[in-house]
Amino acid sequence: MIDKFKHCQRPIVTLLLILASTACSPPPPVSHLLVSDILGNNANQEFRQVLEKRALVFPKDHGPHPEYKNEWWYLTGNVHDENGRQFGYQVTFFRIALTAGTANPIAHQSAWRTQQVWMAHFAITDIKKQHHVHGQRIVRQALNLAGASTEPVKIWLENWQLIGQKDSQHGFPWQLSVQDEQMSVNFSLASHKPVVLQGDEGLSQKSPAFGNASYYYSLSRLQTQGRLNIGEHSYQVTGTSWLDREWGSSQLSDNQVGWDWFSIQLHDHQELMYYQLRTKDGQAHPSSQGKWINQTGMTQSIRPSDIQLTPLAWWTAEDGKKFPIKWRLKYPSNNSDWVIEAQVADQYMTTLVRYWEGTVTIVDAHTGQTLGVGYLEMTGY
Amino acid sequence: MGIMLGVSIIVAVDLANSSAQRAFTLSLNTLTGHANHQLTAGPQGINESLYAQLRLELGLQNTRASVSDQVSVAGHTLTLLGIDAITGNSQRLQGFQMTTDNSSLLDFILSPNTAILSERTARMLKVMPGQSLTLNHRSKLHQIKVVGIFTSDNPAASVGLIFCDMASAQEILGRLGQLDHINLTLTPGQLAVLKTWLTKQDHPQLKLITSQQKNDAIKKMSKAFHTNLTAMSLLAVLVGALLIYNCMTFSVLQRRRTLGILRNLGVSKTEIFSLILFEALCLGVLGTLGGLLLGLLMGQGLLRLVLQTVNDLYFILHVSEYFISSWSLLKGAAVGLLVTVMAASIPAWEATHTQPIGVMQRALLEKSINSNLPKLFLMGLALIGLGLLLAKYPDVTLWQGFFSLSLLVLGFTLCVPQTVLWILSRLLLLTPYLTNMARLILRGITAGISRTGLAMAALALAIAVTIGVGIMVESFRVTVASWLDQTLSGDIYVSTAGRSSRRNNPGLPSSLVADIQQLPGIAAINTSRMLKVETQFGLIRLMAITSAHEPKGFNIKHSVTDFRRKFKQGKGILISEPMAYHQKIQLNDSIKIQTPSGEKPFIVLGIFYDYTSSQGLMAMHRNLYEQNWPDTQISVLSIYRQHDTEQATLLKAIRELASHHPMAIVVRSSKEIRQASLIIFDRTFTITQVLRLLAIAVAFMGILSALMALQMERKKEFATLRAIGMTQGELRFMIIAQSMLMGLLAGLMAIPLGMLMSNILIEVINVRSFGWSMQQIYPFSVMWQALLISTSAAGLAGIYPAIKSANAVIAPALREE
Amino acid sequence: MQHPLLQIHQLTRHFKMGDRFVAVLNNSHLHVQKGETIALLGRSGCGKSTLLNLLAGIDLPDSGHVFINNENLGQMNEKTRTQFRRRHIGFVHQFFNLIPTLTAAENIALPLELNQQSNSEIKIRVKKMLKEIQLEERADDYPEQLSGGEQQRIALARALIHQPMLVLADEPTGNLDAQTGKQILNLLHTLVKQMNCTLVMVTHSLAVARNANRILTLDSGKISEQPGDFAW
Repeated sequence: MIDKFKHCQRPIVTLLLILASTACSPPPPVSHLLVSDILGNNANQEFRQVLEKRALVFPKDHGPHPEYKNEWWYLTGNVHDENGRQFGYQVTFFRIALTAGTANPIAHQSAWRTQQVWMAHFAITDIKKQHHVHGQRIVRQALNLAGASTEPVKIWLENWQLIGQKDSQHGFPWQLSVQDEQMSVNFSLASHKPVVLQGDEGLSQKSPAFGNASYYYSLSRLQTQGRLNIGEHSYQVTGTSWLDREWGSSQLSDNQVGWDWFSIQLHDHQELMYYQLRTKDGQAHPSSQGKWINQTGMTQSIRPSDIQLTPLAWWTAEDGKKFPIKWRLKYPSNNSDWVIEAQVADQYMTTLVRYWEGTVTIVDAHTGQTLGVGYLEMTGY
Repeated sequence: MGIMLGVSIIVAVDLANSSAQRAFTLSLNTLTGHANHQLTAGPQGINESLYAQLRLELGLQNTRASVSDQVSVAGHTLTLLGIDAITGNSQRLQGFQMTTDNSSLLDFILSPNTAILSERTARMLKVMPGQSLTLNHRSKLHQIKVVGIFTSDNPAASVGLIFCDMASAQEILGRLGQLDHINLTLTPGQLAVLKTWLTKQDHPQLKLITSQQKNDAIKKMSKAFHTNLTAMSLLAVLVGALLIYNCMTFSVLQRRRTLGILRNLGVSKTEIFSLILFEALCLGVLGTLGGLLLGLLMGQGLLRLVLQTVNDLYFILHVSEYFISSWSLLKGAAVGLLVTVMAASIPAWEATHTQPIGVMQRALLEKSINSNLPKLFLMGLALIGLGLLLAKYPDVTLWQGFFSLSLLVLGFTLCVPQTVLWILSRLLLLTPYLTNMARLILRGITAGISRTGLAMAALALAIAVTIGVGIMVESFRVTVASWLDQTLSGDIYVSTAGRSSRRNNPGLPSSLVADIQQLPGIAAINTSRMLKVETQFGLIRLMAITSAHEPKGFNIKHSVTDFRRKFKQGKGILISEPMAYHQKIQLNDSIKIQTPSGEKPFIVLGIFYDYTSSQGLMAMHRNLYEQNWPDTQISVLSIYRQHDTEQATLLKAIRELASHHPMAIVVRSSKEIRQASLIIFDRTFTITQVLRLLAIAVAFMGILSALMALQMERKKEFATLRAIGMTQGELRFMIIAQSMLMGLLAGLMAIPLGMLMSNILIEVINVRSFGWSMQQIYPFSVMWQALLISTSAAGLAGIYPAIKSANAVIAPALREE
Repeated sequence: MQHPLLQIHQLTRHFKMGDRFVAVLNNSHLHVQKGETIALLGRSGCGKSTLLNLLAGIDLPDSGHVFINNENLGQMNEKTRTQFRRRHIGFVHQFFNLIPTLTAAENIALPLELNQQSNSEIKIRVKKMLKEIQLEERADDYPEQLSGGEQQRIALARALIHQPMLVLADEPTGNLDAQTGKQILNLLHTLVKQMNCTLVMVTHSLAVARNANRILTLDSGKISEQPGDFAW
């Protein structure tokens, strides 16, 4: 099993990168959020470290692990209506602990006092219209405004919610209900495949250093159906989603600048997850890794040497950042040679943490046949 | 110099005024932000779960909760504002940038008693990041650690604010579970949804208002004060303009002779006219520039006074930025230049439109003016009449009031020369009994009436302003003092400490109330509960009283028949005069008040005098209150002692009892309250006193410049007198005496004008703006002080010309043609 | 031996003219006996008026002394000098210099007032004087209502009302037509004689000068006795 700890560090790392870059490069941002000042400063706390493998227990581990610094529930998916109109969507819940351990409660303590902050991102890509809409929420874990629980599984940030059923191991089908001013999704999610333990049985070692790791599992094929609204229009859709779950307390090492993460769901009911960590000189870091999941849920680890990733085309964002939106992926041991291409070039998330996250199609590089769909995430550009 | 002073007064008053206005706006904006709606729930506050519901159930994202209250730190009154520092999208502070090391910012969320300040506030409080402040909130002290300093695009807006995270703020302010406001930015669709949702909530206290309404309400509250200031600044314009006019006349006069020669040499009228105007313009520009600078300096001092007053009255400003409005500067400059040119054009016209030889002959000019004086006098009378008529017109606005005041002043100015001539001619009838010296003094004034008249008019005007304002303040003070005497009918008052614009004070501990009741020597105790309630007119103070003892406390203006019985039976309420005036409420009208069980109408049984606020006050009987409010707390005890009990003994006993309670309790005798009230009163009018002094300074300059002009014209006369054998001392005496006589005359004439002015000031400013009616008294002291001031100011102004004339070289002046 | 009423000793007075000093009086000497009438001739600007001002104590010399009735003007302070002037000196100016705010009678009464005479005394003396100068009917008129000649007559009356020892006249006819000038001159001489005053009159008219006992000229800062002819 290959570890994918870097992925778990995504938002916070980027956040730190942004803060660091604004600190040393003029001009400073005109508008600066107090929240980013606050969130950027929990790095030096003594959080619990991921030191050893442990058995993941469900539904408990679908719920929160507040003793670790960061945690998320990362849903991406591709859906289509009965006319074949395609959409991509992303809903992510991030939990960020501001401090390790529990503070001594004071007498007459306000209900607003908290150590946990939640952030959520929501995006829909309308492929026909070549349009990408996204939104963000940041809320403290107080007054019941945000939080996560098990039995039933429930993760919520105000009225953005992911809720499982009672009285079963995983609680499928989960109800995902997220609405913004311009769009909403109301999906039912159920997995037909077992949980994929990423890394080494769910322990994702991020670097050779002891303790530099996270717990990481995925649900690689969640059957998805429900309503999707965008603008004035409402669509009854079906499709597949992918859930990434990760928690830990570590971050990118010094020579790593970002990553390119692929989650691919092939029409033949196999999946591939691979992330490439990039070093400062643009090379793939040896800790890059992935997993191949076959129809029955059996997995096979992918090492950097197993795979060849080449950017083919670039897209430039308004802020000047350039993202490769077309890739060639060769996985010779599996006879795979694919062209992975963004369905919409601009799927840039201009949230507190900025990154590119969007739906992609997978085409056979030789036959031109469409093999599947997936999601691509790129940071650190 | 004169122009400079004139412009500086205009600018200073205007700057102070506009800065104060801006302070209001900024304070409001910082607190309400860019939201378009606001939820409030009266003084009890909003349950914070409502905020969660709005976000959770309705998914309203642009909602910002806040809790705030006044606190004091090292003598500064500041606003502690609790905000949710986490909820990202909606807590964007404009151009906000932390300047401190961010590492301690986590404490802002995590640790109690932490705050961040703007750079300016930190400088004001002299704290550095990491240091602590001792903060006094309702007599409770808190140590607050400053964990961050920030700058923002609009630094003024956050001056005087202590930002805390909501958690810390609730803990410090003792408002767990409560919010003051929820500011919302709503789309029309969301608004509709919210409105429907709110109607389903069983929460009658909850009110949704637009930000516009909210700001209007607060602005309305302070409007009266700004009216007052605007009136003052308009008065400053008037006085400043007169000063400039005086000064310009003087400067043209100096050149009269040169101009005469130029005319003789054949320079055309228009050339001379434009020459004078050009000179005037240059002078005007210089003077105006100087005036702007001086005004900037003076304005800063004034602003402090203004804000002090505003905070005394309303306690809501946190901004004290000195805002230099270019509009104020422009206004000052425009008035300066315009008046300078206008002022110069009158003597310039005079100089160009007399015969060339005539220009040199002073006497001819005086003659022509003399013949016009009766006409001017009549015109003046007509203007005064018109001014008075206008002021009596019902529902005068401030501007109308000012206009009528201007007419009055203008008319008065026109009347002055004729009046002076008349008085002096009466005096001169005594000629046979007068020495030549006395005659010289009197005739000197009449002979130069075109100068002396103006000088006296200016002086009289300035003195009249001081009399008018003096009468107003004194009348007000007497009214308030006698009102205090009547209202403070108890001997000793016990109340909780602290005052606040928004919050309701907690009541007195009930055990204390019981203990006090057990004390010997007490004849009776009246209790009252003070709180703010939401009405259809906004937040208004309500006083629920018992009247075990017949309440002399209310000084009733109007009432329905048998109101006392009806009041006791809880048939209705009493309201204060300002409230009745501003809201146009009449007897038997009903006022809708939010009670815990919803909105209820209450009948107005009477209107009482009240000077505690211009915002209004309502009183109801305790029984009626308790029928509608589940509240048995007592805010104030007014204690009547038995006749044979020493007040000091009782006071001591009560203080002793009060000291056993941890909360701060104020025990004061009615005499102490009276004194404290009057001290605040006097402080409120400090600004007015300062403006009075400024007016006198202006008058002083006016009479000085007029005397200088006169002396210049009478150089030859003085030289002749000296040649005949008048000693320097005698000459000095003559000039000073003349000056003082002018001052005396001006002072005398100022008295009637001052009385008229006070009439208008009281009518327009106090009644119309504050809604306070007052007895108008004409204090003798104000009159004789005015006479003293005008005479001594004129005497002082005479000293310099006197010395200058006496020391002048005689010989050359003798041979002048 | 009777001392001279007016005595000038080594009198020097400079004025600054541009960059240099010009001496209008240079170490001058003069003795005038009581009752004499002196005419002082000289070109315009030669310093005649300065000399008169020095005699009146209105101006002070750079060096030298002026004695009147044996009293040294230079040794008095400003106040005593002024008081001396009000008692003992009468001054007639070319431009009359009446006080415009006082009537003719009040103008005449001024020196008496300054000398603290009683009101009744003043009334009598002013009335007498008005008769003397034949302007009784103009007593209550203001100067601006009078003709030049009338004004100068009032001025003469004002200069003589307090019977000064010394009358100083600075071009008294300079601002009047010849006819009126002559009348004024006659009146002046009559009054001076009548009151036994000493007169020093500055003029640039030889014709005017001829009425005097002595004619002096002032030239280049020196005073000299000139009985002879002048070609003015």
